[in-house]
Amino acid sequence: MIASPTLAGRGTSRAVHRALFVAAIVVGVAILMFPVYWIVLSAFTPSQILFSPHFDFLPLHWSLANFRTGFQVVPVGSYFLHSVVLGIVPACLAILVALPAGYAFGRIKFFARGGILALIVFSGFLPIVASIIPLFELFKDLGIIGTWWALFLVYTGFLLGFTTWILSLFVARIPIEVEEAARLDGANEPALLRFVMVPLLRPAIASLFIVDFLASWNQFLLPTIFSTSASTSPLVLGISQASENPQLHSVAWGPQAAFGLIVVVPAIIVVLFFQRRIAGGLTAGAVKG
Amino acid sequence: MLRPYGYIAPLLVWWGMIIAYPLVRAIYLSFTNSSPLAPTTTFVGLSNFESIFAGGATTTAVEFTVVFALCSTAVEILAGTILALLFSRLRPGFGWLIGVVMIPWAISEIVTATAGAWLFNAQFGMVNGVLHALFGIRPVWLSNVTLARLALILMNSWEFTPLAFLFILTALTNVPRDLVEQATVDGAGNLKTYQHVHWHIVKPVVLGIATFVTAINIVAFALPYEMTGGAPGTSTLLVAYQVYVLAIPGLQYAQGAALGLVILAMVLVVAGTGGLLLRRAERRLA
Repeated sequence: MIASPTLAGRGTSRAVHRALFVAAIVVGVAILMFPVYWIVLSAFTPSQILFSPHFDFLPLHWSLANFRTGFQVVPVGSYFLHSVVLGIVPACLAILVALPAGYAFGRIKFFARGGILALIVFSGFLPIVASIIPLFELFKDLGIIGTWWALFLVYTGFLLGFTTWILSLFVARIPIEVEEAARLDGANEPALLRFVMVPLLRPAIASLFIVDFLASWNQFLLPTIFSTSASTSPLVLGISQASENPQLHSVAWGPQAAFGLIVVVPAIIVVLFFQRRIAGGLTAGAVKG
Repeated sequence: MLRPYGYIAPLLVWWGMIIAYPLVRAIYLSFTNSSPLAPTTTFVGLSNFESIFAGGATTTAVEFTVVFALCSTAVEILAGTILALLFSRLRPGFGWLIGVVMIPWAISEIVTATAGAWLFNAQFGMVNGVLHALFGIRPVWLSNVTLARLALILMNSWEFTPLAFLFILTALTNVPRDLVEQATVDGAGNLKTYQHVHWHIVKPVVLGIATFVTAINIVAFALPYEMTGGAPGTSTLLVAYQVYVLAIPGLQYAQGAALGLVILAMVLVVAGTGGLLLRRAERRLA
């Protein structure tokens, strides 16, 4: 550095840079939050104001009327409980099934290992809608249409590919020395899995539980087809039940937004609280260990 | 060696029952006349594929699905990259903002679709509220073919931009610091460093996540289901929704299965292309 004026000039340009940077982030986040604001605003604004041509989209008319209207039609308490059950049980089942499989794929060399794993992972990306007719017929033959079993079976089935894949990546990252030490101490393989691998995999298991929970909580097509009665319906089905279809241009968006908000708020809380864990689980495949 | 197979047996049984068997069965069904309306199921060759493409609606749906998926991917990757570049320079202590950006991803597609239907409502929607306040216009989004398609793409891109963002951000934060410092010492400016150091390392991740979101975009279901119902006309039918319309309300199991195979083929093409590009990029990196 020769002359100080350059330094001063650099200081101002850095401040300008910083201001531009902050402005860009604020604009980006604001655009992303625009639909969220719309849902919250609509949920708490009475329909007659929401559908008035003079409504200025500001949160000045707080009311719980939409929630009351929605709750009259849909048993929100039991739907909420169903959503929690459908969020937790398939996530646990998927992890239970994927843990030994993930260990095998991540650690043991066996015939066609890569091929089998690739097939299972890839099939997880195939459109669910292509399988619904055969699944429906299968469940009819098994006599489990309309039961929790049908829902647990399909929800878990569609989580398995991703869960196994990510677990196998985390298993492969655990140093082999850990395992060898446990074996020297006389641990047999089931004990090794239970008392050495599972504790080491706890962060991965937590990440996958959260991601799987969110996937099931938000699942829409599966309950539309396989939840045939109100006794197993999750919250997502309550949204359209809370009112008429928007294509009819009926004045029903308010209760839909209120119900949508009940679906969205727990998911948002989970994302804000467990953001790091979710990122760790989701992006494990993209990070070379 | 029985050992590994004991570990993967529960997975294989579950996967076989819920994923593999239904797909194989769908392939079989697509060559029959299966329907709750048909008294007996017989083999009909390729006639289901002929009849689903006979009306023209399916051809439109396939074409629009391709446009929808590719445009969504372009927006998602572009917006995700811009956000990731910004967020990679965020000061410590602002990490929670990443969670805020992830919110659209955590919102159920059915909520996104329902909110989208009303967001783009010509009279009462907030999009037109803003457009009217700024420019004095009120486009009829969901009654115009081009605008309805645009609205659908925008809502879908909004939902999956966070996914692209998260992967690209992770890749950016994993760029080795010494490489960046070396480039700076060598006199490379910010732009040059990004071009030669970051892009080199981030490119495979961008290709991977682009393939991933394209596959997700192709199977979009809730948006046409709740936001447009395929209207105006059949212009916003997406293939996954068309499968549902054929098979569930329409009870044409066999035709639905046949169209399901068409989506399958589309996803395979995307995965194949993505895999090929990725392999090439990684070979160049090595």
